[in-house]
Amino acid sequence: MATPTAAPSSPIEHRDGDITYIRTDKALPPVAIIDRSPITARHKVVFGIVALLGAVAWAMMAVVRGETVNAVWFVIAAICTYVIAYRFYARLIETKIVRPRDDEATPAEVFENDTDYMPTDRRVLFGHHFAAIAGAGPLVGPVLAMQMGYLPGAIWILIGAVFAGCVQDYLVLWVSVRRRGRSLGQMVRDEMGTVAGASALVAVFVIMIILLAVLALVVVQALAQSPWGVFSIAMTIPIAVLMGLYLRFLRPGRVSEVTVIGVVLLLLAVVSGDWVAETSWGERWFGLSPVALSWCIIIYGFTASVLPVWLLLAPRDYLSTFMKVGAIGLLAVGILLARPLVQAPAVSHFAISGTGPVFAGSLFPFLFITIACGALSGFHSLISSGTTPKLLTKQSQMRLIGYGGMLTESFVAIMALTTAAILDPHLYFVINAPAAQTGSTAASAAHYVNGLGLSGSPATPAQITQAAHDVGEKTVISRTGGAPTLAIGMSDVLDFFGGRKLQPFWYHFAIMFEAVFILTTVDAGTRVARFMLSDGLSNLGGPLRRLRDPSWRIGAGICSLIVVAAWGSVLLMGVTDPLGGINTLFPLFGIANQLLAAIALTLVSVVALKKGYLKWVWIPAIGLLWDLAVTLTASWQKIFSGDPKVGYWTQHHQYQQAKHAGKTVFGSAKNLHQIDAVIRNTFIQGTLSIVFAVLVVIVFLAGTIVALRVVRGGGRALSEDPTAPSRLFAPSGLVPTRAEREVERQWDALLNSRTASQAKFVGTSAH
Amino acid sequence: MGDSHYQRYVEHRRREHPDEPVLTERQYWMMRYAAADSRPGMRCC
Repeated sequence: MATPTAAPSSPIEHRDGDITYIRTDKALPPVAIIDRSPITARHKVVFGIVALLGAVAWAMMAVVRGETVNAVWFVIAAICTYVIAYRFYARLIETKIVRPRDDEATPAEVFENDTDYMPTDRRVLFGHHFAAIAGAGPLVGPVLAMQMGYLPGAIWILIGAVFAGCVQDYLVLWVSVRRRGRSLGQMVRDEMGTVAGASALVAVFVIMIILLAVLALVVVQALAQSPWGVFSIAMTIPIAVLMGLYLRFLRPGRVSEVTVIGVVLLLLAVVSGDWVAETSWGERWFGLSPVALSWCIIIYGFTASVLPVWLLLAPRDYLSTFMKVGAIGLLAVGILLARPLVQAPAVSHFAISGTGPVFAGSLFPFLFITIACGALSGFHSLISSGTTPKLLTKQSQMRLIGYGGMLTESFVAIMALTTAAILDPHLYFVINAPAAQTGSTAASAAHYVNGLGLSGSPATPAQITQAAHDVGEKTVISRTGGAPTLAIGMSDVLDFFGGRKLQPFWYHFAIMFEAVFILTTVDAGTRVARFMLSDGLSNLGGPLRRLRDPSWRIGAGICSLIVVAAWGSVLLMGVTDPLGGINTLFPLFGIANQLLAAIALTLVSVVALKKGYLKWVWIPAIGLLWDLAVTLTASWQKIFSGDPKVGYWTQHHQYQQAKHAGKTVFGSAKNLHQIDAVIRNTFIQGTLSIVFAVLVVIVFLAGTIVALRVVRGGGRALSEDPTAPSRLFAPSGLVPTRAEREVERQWDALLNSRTASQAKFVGTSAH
Repeated sequence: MGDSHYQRYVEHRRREHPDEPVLTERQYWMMRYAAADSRPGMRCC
């Protein structure tokens, strides 16, 4: 690894009208372009039209009511909002806080080592970053939030992304790029002290465990008793192994080629799942109960985290990335072509009463908890620090990668919301209310949803059975967790391609890709958590120090086992929860995710203050304060609320009293065993709520103390790394400007002449 | 998705360390996966 050397001379600037070219070496073409051209008249007109169109779309979505709101307006409102936000707000953040210096080398350039530090083409990196941040989260949250109508969710996804989520991703990337791509926990320690650093590390670990458990729970709910679904997911494992072997032994490096083969096999697996599900052995092997399925995922998670990555993890990741881009693109095209009508109400009465069956609690704070990914997701700060900064070629590309990447995830969330909004509200609640309420038969489910006071014609048992039949399943009642709802909505949208007959295929295709995303997160997450655990334990010293050596297989196995046991037990707890796992655990997941965002936003606010940007610290601070208000209110209610549907401890005590009173049936619990289960689960959930909130308050207070010291003058120094002059060039945005194309040409010419006479130029690089 | 990584690696080696030997494509990918084994990338929700 090379060490950065100080700039031997100051950069050479050359101005040409509004454009400044910067060189760090007289013999080389420019490495940076500063374009101060005023906005052209043509651009003014274009952005004016976009703003106007966006305003019309917002009005159609929010104000104009009636039965003919078309889902296309959602998509248009979203795209126009993103364009304006990216062009103006992200640009403001860039000029006031980020202040990119393309004449300074990024960590990828300075430490290039052919493995984790590599200057990567911005378009490729955008894909990498997007694939790493987006998974099942933005697909699931908006579906669950539909209980309150489409409008609150849509507003939060758009506004939240623009002012909080994108800002967090962008600024964490900024902070990490100036620190060799250090991780969030390390940066919190460096900037805010050891107590805050340790709290952040523990918080990240615990939050990760909850994330893995809840995502696994979503998969279980989608696949239980569905032989077709289980078969197609199970097949992804041999397919991935096949791909791994192909890349290892047959044709190393042919990633696209093997991915195409994998995707074809995967589609075959989805198609043949229908046939397998019809056979008696298919039913026997793949028609698994939720508990059996949970054990399969737990064993899978453990195996995947100890196997070498080339065999399973890496090829799976290729498949997952391809499916992510492909399936989401397909859905976007489907919505634009099919232009379905919205059936959900703009704001449902559950938004006001807070008594909905999908998740309990009022709009504030629980809507903002339920939709985390897509609006503000703390987990992105683990990608924006660590992985992505080590691949970034130029500092000015951070706006595209950080802000733009999150805008894209927000768009995924808007499409998920749209897909759920076009379903009949009765059907929506049949699928999403827990079994304790729907009673699991078509007649009882119809009776239940007809009593909810929804608009539109009441549901009949025959319709409910037909809905399941249409997608090739036996039942859709209480298939909670969001994935089946999205899959049904998607099969509705996509029957534009191929008609009703293909609906079962599209349903299982959608279930398959959601499960692939989630399993990719589960195996990668288990592995990351295992490393965090062994790192943390090895710091305790003594015999545990040996855990620092990653090639010690026994240590790796034990740490993996601890991690899997932790999320596996939460998963089993959710699966067997008499109250219906998703509605008790999903809020915990949302709170955890956004508390992590609070840690990340505290960090970037502190760094902005230390850099002396007091006037602009409101940019990360509005996201931070809103997020703290939401998450701490939600935590408070989860811990102290007297309403047993909301407060974990109230419920805990009620069931405990029932048990002491000798009752064997109480609330949703049908026997003594279930009463015990509720008592145990609410205890664990309540304890976790307290732990999360306390850790985040510690980090926030530490941040506030540091911030106050800085404002008064003084405090800890900033821990930025020294910079080195850059010796390469790359455009900033997705499409290069004319000046950027010209400079690229100069570099290409230079590199070509170098390869032609190699020996002559050897050693021109200083590092 | 990684198809050009080996080519990039060869170019980088030639540019920065012209005197050192260059891995074959097979060795290069083994090295990459070995590195990924000890530094796993996070996948988000």
